[in-house]
This record gives sequence, C-alpha cells and structure tokens, in this order.
Amino acid sequence: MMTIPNAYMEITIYASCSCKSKALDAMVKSALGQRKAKITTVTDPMKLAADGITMPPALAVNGELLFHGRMPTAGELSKAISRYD
Amino acid sequence: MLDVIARYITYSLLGLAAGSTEAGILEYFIEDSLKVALLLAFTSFLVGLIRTYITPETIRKMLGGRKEGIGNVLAALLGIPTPFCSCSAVPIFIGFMEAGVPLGVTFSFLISSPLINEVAIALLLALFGLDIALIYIASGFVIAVCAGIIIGRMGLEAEIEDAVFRIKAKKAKEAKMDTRERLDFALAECKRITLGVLPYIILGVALGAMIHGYLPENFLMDIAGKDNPFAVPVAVLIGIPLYSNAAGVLPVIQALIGKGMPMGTALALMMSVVGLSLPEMIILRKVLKPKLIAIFAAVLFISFVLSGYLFNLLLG
Repeated sequence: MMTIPNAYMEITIYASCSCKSKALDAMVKSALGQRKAKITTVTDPMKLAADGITMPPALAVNGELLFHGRMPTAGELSKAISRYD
Repeated sequence: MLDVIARYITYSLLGLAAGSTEAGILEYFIEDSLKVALLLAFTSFLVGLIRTYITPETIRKMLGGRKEGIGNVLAALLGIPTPFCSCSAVPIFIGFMEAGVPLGVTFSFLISSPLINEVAIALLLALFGLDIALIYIASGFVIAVCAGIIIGRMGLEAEIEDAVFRIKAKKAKEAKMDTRERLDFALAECKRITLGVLPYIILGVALGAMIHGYLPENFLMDIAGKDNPFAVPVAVLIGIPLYSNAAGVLPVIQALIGKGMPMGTALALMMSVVGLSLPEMIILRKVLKPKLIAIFAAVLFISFVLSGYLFNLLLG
C-alpha cells in the first residue's frame, strides 16, 4: 500500500515572467504528486529583490531557498521536495 | 554532410525538380535548420554546464565593490553565460546595488547579458561562420565594457529611484550541486533551450528562405546599401521596437545580407534588436529615473551605430 507523506510544505516560486512561473508551477505540481503544499508565486520585481532573488527563476520550500538563477531539473526537484517528507 | 541530407530530402524523398525556386527554398531551409539546431544543442549544453558554477551569489560577490575597469570587464564576462530576459532586469539591478556593485559595472553586466548569449553565438556560428561570430562577440563585449565605464564616470547615482535603496534584501543561500547534478542540469538546459527556441528559428529560417527565394538580388542596395550614409542609424532605430531574440532575427538578417545589406549594417540591426529593447527600458523605469534610462539608451544607440560603420568599413 502506498503511503502519502503528511508533511505540509509552503513552496514559493519566484519568476520574473509568466512563462517561467507556469513552467516551474507545472514541475512543482508533478514533483509533489499527492503531497499537500501551499504554492505561492511571486512575480513582482520589487518583491523578488526584497526576498534576495537577484536572478529569477528561484524556488523556496518552507522559506529555504533551494534553487536560484536557474530552472531545476525534474529529478532535482523531486529529490529536493522528498527531503521534506 | 548537412547539405547532403538537405538535398536527399528535397530531391530524392520529396521529388522536387532541381533548379526550381521551391526546391531551392526547401533545401536552404532544411540545411540551415539542421545546422542551427545542432550548434544550438551543443552551445546550450556547454553554457548550461558553465552556468552551474556561476550562481547569482557568486556573481554578486565577484562584482561587489569592484573598481572601474576590471569590474566592467568582469561584469561583461559574467553577463555572457547568465540567462537574461527584460523582466529580470529589475531584480538584477536591485541585487547588484545591494551588494555594492558600482553603477557602471552593473550596466556592463546588463548590456552584455542580453547582447551575447548561447543562442546568438550558436546562430552566428551556424549562419555566418567563426570570423563573424567572433567579431560580434568581441564588439558586444567592448561595447558592454566601454558603455559601463562611460555611464559609471557620469556620476548618475542620483538618477536611481529611492525605492531601490529602501529594499533590504534577505540573504539567499544556494544549494551546492555535485557533478552528476551539473551534467543533468546542462542536459536539461540543452533540451529546454533547443526545443524552446527551435520554433522561432524555423519561423526565422522560413522567412529568410522566402526572402532568399523571392526577393530580387540587390533589392536592398538602394535603401540599406553602403552608399546610403544613414542606413546604419536607421537600421538601429528600426531594431529598437522589434522585441525579438537572436533566434528569430538572425535567419532573417542572413537573408537580408544575401540581398545586399552590408554586414556592419546587419550586425548593428541585430545588436539593436537583442540589446536595446523598448520593453526593457519600460521595466527599468521602476528603478531608474528617466534621465538615466535616456543616457543608457543613447550610449547604446551610439555604440551600435559606430560598430555598424566600423564593420562596414572593415568588412566591406
């Protein structure tokens, strides 16, 4: 029987344009599978800068910045998210 | 090798008549598309790999507090492998200001990053060969360094919006990658960039093939030829509102050169399309006052026009 992880995650997607944020959002949802998570997308350039994101795209889980300045690969994202199970 | 494949598809597989305009267009289209796709895959893999070593934090640390000259050279160099789109100009600008990167050094980065990238390099190599690719890279680099130094020396710090200095950015901590992850990332970048850019290239090559096949020889000689002294500034002006990347514009430029546009005028047009975009200026208004935006645009305009004239003189 498959177990569904209970850990609740807050994922923040940082992107400067909608094409990158949509691509990253789709990758995150695929990597999450059946896990529960609140996904927030930040595209406002001033907010990006305030959060320390110099070169979008970036991705943070529970406030911890995992990727910055590049799109993660699907494998990297799955591995990173599974750390929070 | 690629010309053999293009001829095989055009004449043996599709059975088009040799010497017909349609066959010529298709052969040109297949050969150019294959050449560009292969070079693009190779350069995007290589740049993807380099990118794993040059993180945003590394760049900020390397450029923070750097003096004029070496700082501008370093910024222009780091801008080459860094991905850039107009929308990311504001966070980059604020991040650099916060890290103490001087204004002129920041501009060297902001100029070289869109102007010289893996897509432009791959396309220039595929369509024009090594000499022209190197000339473009070298001139883009020199423009980024010199324009950054000029802007830096003008003492325009007061022309930065106050909001930039009110932002207190959090420290971003980046994860480390192992070799396997770096290679996986480079492969993913190669796939993402090649597949993402390919439709634009195919569209550009198709448009270029139409120009190549249907526009009369020397059509552009009168309006954009060497005898028209205003051809270069007009080409640069035309390029500003054309918001495109190297992928879309270069195959068209290749066809225009074939129809009589001088190489320098064509390179100046390309620089203007990819390096001096109207949307970027509008986005930069969030962090820069109009005077600094106008100076930035004017310095780039003059630089592109001068390089256009210089290359027409040298390559003409």
